[in-house]
Amino acid sequence: MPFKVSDIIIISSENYCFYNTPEEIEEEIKRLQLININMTNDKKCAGVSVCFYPTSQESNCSIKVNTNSKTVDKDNKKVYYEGNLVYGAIFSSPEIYECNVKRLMNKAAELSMVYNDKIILLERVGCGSTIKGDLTNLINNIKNFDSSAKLKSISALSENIDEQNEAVKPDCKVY
Amino acid sequence: MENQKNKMIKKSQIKIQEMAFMLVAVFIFFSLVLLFGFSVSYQNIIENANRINEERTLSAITNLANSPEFSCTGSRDNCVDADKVAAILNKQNYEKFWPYSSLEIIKINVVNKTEKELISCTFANYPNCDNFLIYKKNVENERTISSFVALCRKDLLNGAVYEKCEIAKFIAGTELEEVK
Repeated sequence: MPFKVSDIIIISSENYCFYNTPEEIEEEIKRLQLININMTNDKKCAGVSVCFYPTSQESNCSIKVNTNSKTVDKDNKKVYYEGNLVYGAIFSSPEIYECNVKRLMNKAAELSMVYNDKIILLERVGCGSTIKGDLTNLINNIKNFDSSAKLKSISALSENIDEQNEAVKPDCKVY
Repeated sequence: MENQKNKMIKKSQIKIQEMAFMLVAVFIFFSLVLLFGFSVSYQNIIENANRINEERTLSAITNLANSPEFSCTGSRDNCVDADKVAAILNKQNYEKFWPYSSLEIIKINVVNKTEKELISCTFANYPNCDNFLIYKKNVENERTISSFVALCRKDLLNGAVYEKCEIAKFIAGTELEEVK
């Protein structure tokens, strides 16, 4: 999303074995000192196996993460992610993940409406913003949001909104 | 002999009656003790529930200013974006979103004004107003908890846009359970 929507808290007591972990995820897990996540290439590692594709060669993986298509295969179901939602997609069940992504999207739509009204209020001090139309598009996209597969189009729209917001004067930024 | 026997039967009947009365009295006594115990523990449960609710409101209100709905541009700590608050005044959905019975922001520089003199903010009269009543559920028994925040908005000075910040009070209400 272009702006902060919410904080996500994930709690898990299971042990996980991450194979072929991308550098940014490895750094984040090390920084958070998560002791139940073992980043390894040792096949004897005990825990739920999480394999990162496309480079991982492991075949017996409980959870398969494709960082190119931004998908997670788990329990014979495929869910889509963007950014930090990868953690939710890995650790949650597909049903819980889909439900919470919908909740996040609804919150994002409400916040977009707040920002749309804020743009009107900023006009009184001479601050114009070009993101109003795209924010309305974002709200409409979210209204039709039924599964995480639509995150990709929302992400593209969000990047566009972010670029426009960054382009205005620092004092006239909407968020 | 017959007379003595009758006397003994009468005496026994009185004893049985005494015992029955005693048992009833003991039963009533323990029932009253139990009832008293229940009412005291029920009162404690309600008081604890109210205390927990208030503590939850207090801990939540200190974080509320940093939530995406209120936070200033650049996510500064304890800073509320007045432009966003004015925009939220238009939205009905937020009443169901937060767990408080009421939510209000009052500017501190209006201390000389009485409650009646305060100008309530709307989307139309903003920023020439004093208090933002985000919502009020009009509950009967409410206790409010407040926290000080910086209330910032974009303003103009000599034709240039700058951020004007004022001290404000963020007030959240908790509905209290009544002990009957």
